[in-house]
Amino acid sequence: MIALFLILLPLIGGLATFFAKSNSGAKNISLFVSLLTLLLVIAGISGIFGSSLNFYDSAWITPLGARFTIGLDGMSKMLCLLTAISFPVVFGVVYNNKYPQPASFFGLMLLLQTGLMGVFMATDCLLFYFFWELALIPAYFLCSIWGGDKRIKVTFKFFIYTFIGSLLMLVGILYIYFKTPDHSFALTSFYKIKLSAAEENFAFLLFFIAFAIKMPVFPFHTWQPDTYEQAPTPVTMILSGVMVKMGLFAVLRWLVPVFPAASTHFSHIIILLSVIGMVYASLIAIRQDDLKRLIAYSSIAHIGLMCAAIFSAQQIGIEGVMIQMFNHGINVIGLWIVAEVIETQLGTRKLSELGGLASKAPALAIILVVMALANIALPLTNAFVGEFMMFNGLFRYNVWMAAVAGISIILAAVYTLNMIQKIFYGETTVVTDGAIDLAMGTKIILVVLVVLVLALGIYPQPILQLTSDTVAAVFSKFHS
Amino acid sequence: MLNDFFILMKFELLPAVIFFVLLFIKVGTAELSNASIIRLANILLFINLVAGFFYNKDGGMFGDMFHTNALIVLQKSILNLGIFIVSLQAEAWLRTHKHVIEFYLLLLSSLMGMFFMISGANLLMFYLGLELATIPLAALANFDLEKRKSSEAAMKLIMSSAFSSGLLLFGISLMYGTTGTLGFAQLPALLNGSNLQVFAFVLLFAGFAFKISVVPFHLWTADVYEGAPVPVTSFLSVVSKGAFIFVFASVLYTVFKPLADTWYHMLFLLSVLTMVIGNLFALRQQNIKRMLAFSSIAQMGFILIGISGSSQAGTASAVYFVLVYVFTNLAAFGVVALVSAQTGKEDITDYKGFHATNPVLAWVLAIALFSLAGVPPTAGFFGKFFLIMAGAAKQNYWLITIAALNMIVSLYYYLNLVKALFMDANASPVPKITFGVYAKLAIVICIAGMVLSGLASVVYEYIYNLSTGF
Repeated sequence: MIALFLILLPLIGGLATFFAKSNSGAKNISLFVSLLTLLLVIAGISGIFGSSLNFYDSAWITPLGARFTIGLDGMSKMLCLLTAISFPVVFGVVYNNKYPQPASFFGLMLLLQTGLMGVFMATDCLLFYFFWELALIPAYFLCSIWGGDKRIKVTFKFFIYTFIGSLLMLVGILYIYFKTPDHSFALTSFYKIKLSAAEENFAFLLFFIAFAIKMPVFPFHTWQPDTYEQAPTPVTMILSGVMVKMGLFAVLRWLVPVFPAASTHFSHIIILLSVIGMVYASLIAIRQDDLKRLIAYSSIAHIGLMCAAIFSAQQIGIEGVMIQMFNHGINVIGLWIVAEVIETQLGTRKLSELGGLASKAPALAIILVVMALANIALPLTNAFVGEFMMFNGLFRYNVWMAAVAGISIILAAVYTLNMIQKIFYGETTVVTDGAIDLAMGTKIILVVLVVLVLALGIYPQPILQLTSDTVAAVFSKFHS
Repeated sequence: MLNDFFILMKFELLPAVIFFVLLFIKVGTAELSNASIIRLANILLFINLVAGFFYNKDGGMFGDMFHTNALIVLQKSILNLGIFIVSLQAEAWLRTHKHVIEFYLLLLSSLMGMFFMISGANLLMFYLGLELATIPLAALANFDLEKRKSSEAAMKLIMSSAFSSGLLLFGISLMYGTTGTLGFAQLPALLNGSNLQVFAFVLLFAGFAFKISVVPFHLWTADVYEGAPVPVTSFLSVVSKGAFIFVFASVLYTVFKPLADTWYHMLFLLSVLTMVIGNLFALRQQNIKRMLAFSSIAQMGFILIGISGSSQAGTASAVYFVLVYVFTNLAAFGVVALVSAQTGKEDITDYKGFHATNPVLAWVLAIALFSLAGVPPTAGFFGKFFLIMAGAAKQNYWLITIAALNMIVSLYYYLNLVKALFMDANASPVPKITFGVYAKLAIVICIAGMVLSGLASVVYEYIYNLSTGF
């Protein structure tokens, strides 16, 4: 039942928020609902009410054999936790911002959470597809109503792009459905299919393109920097912190275990694309003047590494992906918060117009430095553990790939340190003269994130333990 | 016996009774105001809808000319629902019209024709029902008497339906020549796939294709939709097409089952053509009614995919899609009707900034457009999904892939309209539209239908259990 409530709670909360009369009403309802969801996820993970509550199964579309089956396994728990942490954080950060039509804004945010929770928990492929699309609609409206100047064109591209991927996946789902022995959409039935190599490769590609667009993997990434830039920052936080994990999650749940032979068959080309993407995105990030675009490109590089590590088919690499999925979410949201603070305070996010903020806003500077160092995976920060394990996996797969991918670490240091320097040091400019330090609420949220960054950097064991069952399952499929 | 007569023919008798009640009011001396006539007609249509759910029975009559069963009852109820919503939506336009009663008389006789057509168990009966269903439609299309475009639409409709009726009749007579019977029960055993029979079948098929405006028999559609008054357009696009889809599917599945190999290939070809051409033309339309016309052509292509599956799911998905389509398309046309009735604006560019002045209607139209595009969680997604599922059972993945690509193309133009509604700025947007209780009720029904008929899977299960296939 906990699993079901994790979907129902944001759904009902979101619908209620739509009818909120006042600005603060909408904010309070959504913050309250998201905190309640967080508590529920923690209850589900700790299993204090018994772990059988973490699964829910009921009849759905019986003539087709589709069931409403959701459940929390290790990876789902981890990603649901990430989702549940992200939303209250985002709501807390934007608590003092003014949005036109706040009721719609916060209602759509909660509907987005509904979709995300559903994607991470569904173990029926049709249900998975349903939530996968459901998450797209609120994101579309959020970006295109509250976004920046070029939002309409950009969001249009984003929507069409992801919809193309989704429909290819739908064809793939139907293809597999008719191959399952019992004509069912259940994950367990999908694991049982027997396909010839050609059939498996065909179906693999249909699924992979959908996921590759979502992640995004080079060369399917062109929608992403524009969308991140144009989306309102709270939405960008969710998009990059949580929504891109949908693609990685789907690869680990629906792609690799269902098509192990094809995954091995295509692993070379996918790893090559990912590594190209990492270096390419890092190089572009160096040239960026816009803070949001810089973080967007850096995000592509990180996702590329995770994708490569999955297909390296090494246990340590997949463990690293699990850790990094969570940590990347935390880190990137932290970075976006800083970007949001800078933009709302100073009205610009161009690096060339910023400078000398360290003296004006010391707390902000310290926090950004911690987050930025986590972003380049310095030891003792959370990202180090994950990246180290992923590089280890990639190294075992192919030394040269690991070496080329390693260039992106250096490049990451270049663009990140460059960013810190331009924002915080040097002379203060006309723009940064009037800067004030962090507000109390935002400071608390950021400190919580910093504590998470350091704690998980020193002791990543909880996430490893939480996801060990999924890693073992995926790994065993890869080598069966 | 008499009891049976009333129960079996309940669906045909009720509109007839309403027809005569309204006719007596018309010829009577008492002058009723438009408002009270509309109120009365809507109440009667509602009773007609509700009465359809009770006391139903399977059976045949008139020496197997007429038959009914649970699926047919459901199909007729869907049409009843459609006509009720259309009538609710027509109120804004009829309020000031001089010939309110005539509108209802024509509507009801057309409905009655459709019911006879659906229940026909003989090609002759079927043809009579069809004519009764189409001829009033031409008069309805001409109902904006002072508009030239309306007359043009009526002219085009009557010409094209006369032509398609001619094709049907030619096919029917050839069919009779080769088999010596017109009964649905006897025909399958006598079909042997001879060239003449296939030729006769192709003619019949073309006649149907005209009625449901499948490419290349679609040319009348956009002009008629554009010229006819909006409530008539929505009736044409939903109720009339729905009725023909029902008959088409059941005739193919029962009478022409022996020719399944022939019609599978025809359906495949026509559905691809219909989807592609319908969508490509819809991309270029400036008038919102024309856009919806071409989009409805493309939707027909999707229905053909489902029918081509020739399984239990084939019938079920087609019927389910029509149900969803009733809610979805009527929601879209309902908003267009309101705007058109109050401002006369019908171009897509007129809808820019619509959300700023009419947030509720903008959301209704947006949900309808997403449902038409087949985006979850709307019922339109489930409708398309079931159709594609049914078609995929034949393992023809080309068809499925083409369908998926077409969904993307269609998403483009639907999304363009959504963009115009919500995001584009407009110096002179459509002013605030006021709508009365009738339109409100119609909107509530449509929204509830679009959300619930998808999420509540019992709806599809119910239809599925009533359906048959082979």
